[in-house]
Amino acid sequence: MTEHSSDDDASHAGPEWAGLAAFLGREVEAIDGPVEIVASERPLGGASWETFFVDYRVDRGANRRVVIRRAPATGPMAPYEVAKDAMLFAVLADSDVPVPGLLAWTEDASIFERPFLVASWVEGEAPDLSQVERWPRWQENRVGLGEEMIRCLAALQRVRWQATDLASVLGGAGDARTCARRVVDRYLEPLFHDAKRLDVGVPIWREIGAWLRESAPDLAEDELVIVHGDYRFGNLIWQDDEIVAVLDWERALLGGPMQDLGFLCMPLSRRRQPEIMGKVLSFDELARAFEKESGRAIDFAQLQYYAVLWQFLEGVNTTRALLQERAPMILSGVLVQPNLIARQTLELIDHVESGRSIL
Amino acid sequence: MFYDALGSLVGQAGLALGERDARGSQDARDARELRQIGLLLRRARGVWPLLFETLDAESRVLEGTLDELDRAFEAQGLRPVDRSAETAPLDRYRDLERAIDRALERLLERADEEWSTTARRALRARLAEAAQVQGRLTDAMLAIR
Repeated sequence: MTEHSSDDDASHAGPEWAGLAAFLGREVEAIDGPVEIVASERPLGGASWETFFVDYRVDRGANRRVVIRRAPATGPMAPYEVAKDAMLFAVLADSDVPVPGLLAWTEDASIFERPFLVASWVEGEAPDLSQVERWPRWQENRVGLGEEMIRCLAALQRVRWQATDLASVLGGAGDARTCARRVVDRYLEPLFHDAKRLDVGVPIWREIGAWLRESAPDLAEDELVIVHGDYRFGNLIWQDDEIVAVLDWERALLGGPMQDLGFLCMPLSRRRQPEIMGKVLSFDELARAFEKESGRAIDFAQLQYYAVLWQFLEGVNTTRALLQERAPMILSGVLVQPNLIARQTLELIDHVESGRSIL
Repeated sequence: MFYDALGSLVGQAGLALGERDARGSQDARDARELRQIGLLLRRARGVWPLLFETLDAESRVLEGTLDELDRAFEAQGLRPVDRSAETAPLDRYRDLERAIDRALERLLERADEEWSTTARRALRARLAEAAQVQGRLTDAMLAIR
């Protein structure tokens, strides 16, 4: 269900491919010479990191497939730090959170044009969020898939990041308020820069950003958990009803236990089916599954706050995309997203301010 | 921003089509972009009859927003919001957004004062109202698939 742009007929003879072949030989296969790259594909999903599925062989042996994740030249999530994925994969390999095996990584841009990492290929299905309703597994067992997603999320929240160096790649530690303000500022600063350059006003995002800075929940650093930041279909590989890999950790950070749930529950995630969170569970089903798997109770006020936060991040990103002079790919949805997200987010803030328990 | 961006995106689509013609290739990425350009143009056509009246209606909401902000500043003995005398519809709209943004910066400098909190709450309501007006266009676009 994932579209690919195949490059099978390409010669892979350019200097960057020679650099990659030598790197794979040295760092993954531990041989003296390069491997022979026989094919590559680029999946169409994802708007930031460049992903390649690369098939290679050694001494005319069987083909082996790996996944290359390369930092893009530029993008809304810059800076792209390959060390972040590398450290997360390494730490999570010892947890109950399934991630692809980390085979090698480098920040040396001379090898394959930009920093990249090499991960093992994981067999399975990764239905795209926009098409998941057509996936037979979803049609047969939507609630079961949702419970599996929550089980995996609870496993992520059990990882003791404090015993690792993860805070250094997750934006830094601090209490929840500090972490939330940090991420708001990280998104607002480049937006303000773009707006000033183009002499346009961005009052909606300035105001929502200020509201988020003022309203962040009060949680001590030790209560924080690892937050994936983009926990949805498309970033999960499934075998039957089991998640076998969680992908795309570029937005991971430290935050409150309600933060990833806020992502699943934000209005943007359920525009077509308002009663279904993250396209899998009703709110009551989600709450029951989360409380069972994590032992934590749902904090509705925090959940609302984090839903606003995710809406804001999406809104700023899509607004910045509109301000680009030349988009890498023309996508019609970009035009409508900022307004749609702004309407949803201002309404949600109004619910919060009025004390209404509505998402 | 929507109104300017619509023109910008249509222009970018034209450039992309020209480059595609010169390149002569058609991979899955190109095919997806071509579908998206087609959808963008159909959506632009679909909302065209609503475009100018919506721009005017949204601008009127933003004018009212600035009037409210003026009253809030004046009640505190502060100078009103700077405005320009633009009358061309798109220029007027851009100026209104910039003026509200500048006014908001001033409110945020006094974020710990109660009147500022009240004014910002009212501002959010007006911005939501303006977004709803623009939403007539974006909803109409989303209905075209």
